[in-house]
Amino acid sequence: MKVLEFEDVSYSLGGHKILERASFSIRKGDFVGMIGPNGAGKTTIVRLALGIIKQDSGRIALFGKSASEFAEWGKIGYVPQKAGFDQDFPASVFEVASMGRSAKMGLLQRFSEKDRKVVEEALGMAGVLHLSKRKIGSLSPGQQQRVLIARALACEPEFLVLDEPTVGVDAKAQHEFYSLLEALNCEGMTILLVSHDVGAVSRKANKIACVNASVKMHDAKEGIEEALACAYGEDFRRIPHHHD
Amino acid sequence: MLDIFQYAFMQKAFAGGILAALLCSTIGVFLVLRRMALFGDGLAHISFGGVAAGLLLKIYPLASALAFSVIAAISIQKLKQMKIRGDSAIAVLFSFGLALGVVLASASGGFGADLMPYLFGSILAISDADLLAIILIGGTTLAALASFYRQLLYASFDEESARASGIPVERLNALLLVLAAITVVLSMKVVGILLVSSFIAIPATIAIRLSKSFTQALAASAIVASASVAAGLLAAYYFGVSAGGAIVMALALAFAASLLAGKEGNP
Repeated sequence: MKVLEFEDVSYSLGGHKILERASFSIRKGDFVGMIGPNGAGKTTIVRLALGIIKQDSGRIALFGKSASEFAEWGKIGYVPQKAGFDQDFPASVFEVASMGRSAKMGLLQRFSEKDRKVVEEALGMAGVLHLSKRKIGSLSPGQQQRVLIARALACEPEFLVLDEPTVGVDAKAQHEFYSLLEALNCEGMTILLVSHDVGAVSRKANKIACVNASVKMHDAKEGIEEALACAYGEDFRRIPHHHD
Repeated sequence: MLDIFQYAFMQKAFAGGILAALLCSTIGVFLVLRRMALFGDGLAHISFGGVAAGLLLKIYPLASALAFSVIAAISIQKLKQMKIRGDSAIAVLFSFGLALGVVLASASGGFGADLMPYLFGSILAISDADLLAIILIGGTTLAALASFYRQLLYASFDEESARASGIPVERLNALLLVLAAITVVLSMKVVGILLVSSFIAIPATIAIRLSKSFTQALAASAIVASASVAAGLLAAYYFGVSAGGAIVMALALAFAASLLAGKEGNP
C-alpha cells in the first residue's frame, strides 16, 4: 500500500521553480531518508505532503486518497525542525506532547484517561517521561526535540514525517534518536526522514530519496554513491572517517 | 470590612467585575502569546464608534458596540490573510473606530456625557441588563474557550504543526478574535474603553512570565485579574477613588511585584 505518492508535482514560489514534475512514492513499512542540498525542495515536499501548502500542478495522495480530500490526519505524525516555537511559551512537556493527541480527538471531545496513558507512553518511548512537569523552554535542544517526537507519537501515527529533526542535537542524543526511529520502523511504522546527515540516513533508512527540484529513489544499501551524486552532483567528495 | 457587601451596587460590581476579569484574563493569555496584546486596545477603540452609533440610533450601546467589534475582528483577520501586518491592520481600524465615534458624537450635537461611562468605566453603576449580559454572553464565551482549549493551545504554540495535524487553524483564529471582540465589549462597562487593554494584557503578561505550564498560566492570570478587581473596588469604597483606575493601578502594582518575584521560566 502506498502511504504517500507524488505524481508530476510542481511548485514554484515568487517565480522560482522549487519542484518540477516530482514523482515518487513511499510504501507502508518503508524508512525513507530524504537528502539533497539546501534549497533543493526537501522541506517543500514535506509541507506539500502535510497539506500546509498546495502544489501548482500534479497529484499528491496520502493513504490512497487525494491530499485535498484526505482527512485522517491522526494517521500522520510530524516532527518539525527545532525552535519553531517561542522558548518562553508557558507549556509543560506533558502539555506539548498532549497537543499531538489533538489530531486524534474531535473538536469538542474531552481528554480521557486513555489519552493520558497514550501521551505518557509516547513520552516514555522518547525517553522524556521524567521531564513531564518541566517547562518546555527550560529543556536542552536535544530534550526539546525528543518532546516533539513524543508529540508526534502521541497520535499513534502510521506514518512519521521528520524534517531535519537532529539539527542542534548532540551526537549521543542523535544516536539514541536514530535508534528509536529504527525500532519504530521495525514495529511497522512508515518513516520519512529529511536530513543532512547522509551517513545516518544511509545506515538507518532502506530507501534514499534524492531531491534536487525532482526526486529520485535509490536503494539505501546498494545505491548510496549514485544517490549522493544525484543529490549533490558528480563533484562531491566523501571523507571516510569514524568516531570512537 | 464586609459592610461593603451590604450595598446592591457593590455586589453587582464584584460579580460583574470578577466575571469580566475572568473573561479578559483567559482570552488575554491567548492574545499575548500570539503577540496581540494591543488587539484589545484596538477593538476597544472600534467599540467606541459602536457605542456612539448606538447612542445616536437609540439602541442598547453594548449591542451596537458588539456588532462593530465583531465586524472589526473579522476584518482584521481578513486583512492579515491579505498579507497586511497584524499591527498595521489593528492601527487602521483603531483610528477609524475612534474617528467614527468622535464624528457621530459631534454630529448628534452632543451625548458626550453618555459616552463617559464607556470611556472610563462605570463598574459601580452596572445595571441589571449589563450584569445579565456579562453572565450569559461571558459564560458562553468561556464555555467556547474551554471547548476548543486544546486546539487553540496547539495553534498558539506551533501553528504550522497544528495545521499539519489537520486542525482548522484559520477557523480557530477567527473564532478567537470574535471571542476577543465579545470580551472587549463586555469589559468596557467595567473598566472603560481606555483601560480595557490593560485588563487583557497585564494579568496575562504576569502569568506567562511566572508559569511553567499553560494551565498554570490561565489560573494565575485569572487570579491576578480577579484580585485586582477586588483590590480596586475596596480602594474605591474606602478611599473614594475611581474604581476603574484603581483596578488598573492594582494590576500595574502586581506587574511590578512580578518583576521582583523571580526569574522567568524556572524549570
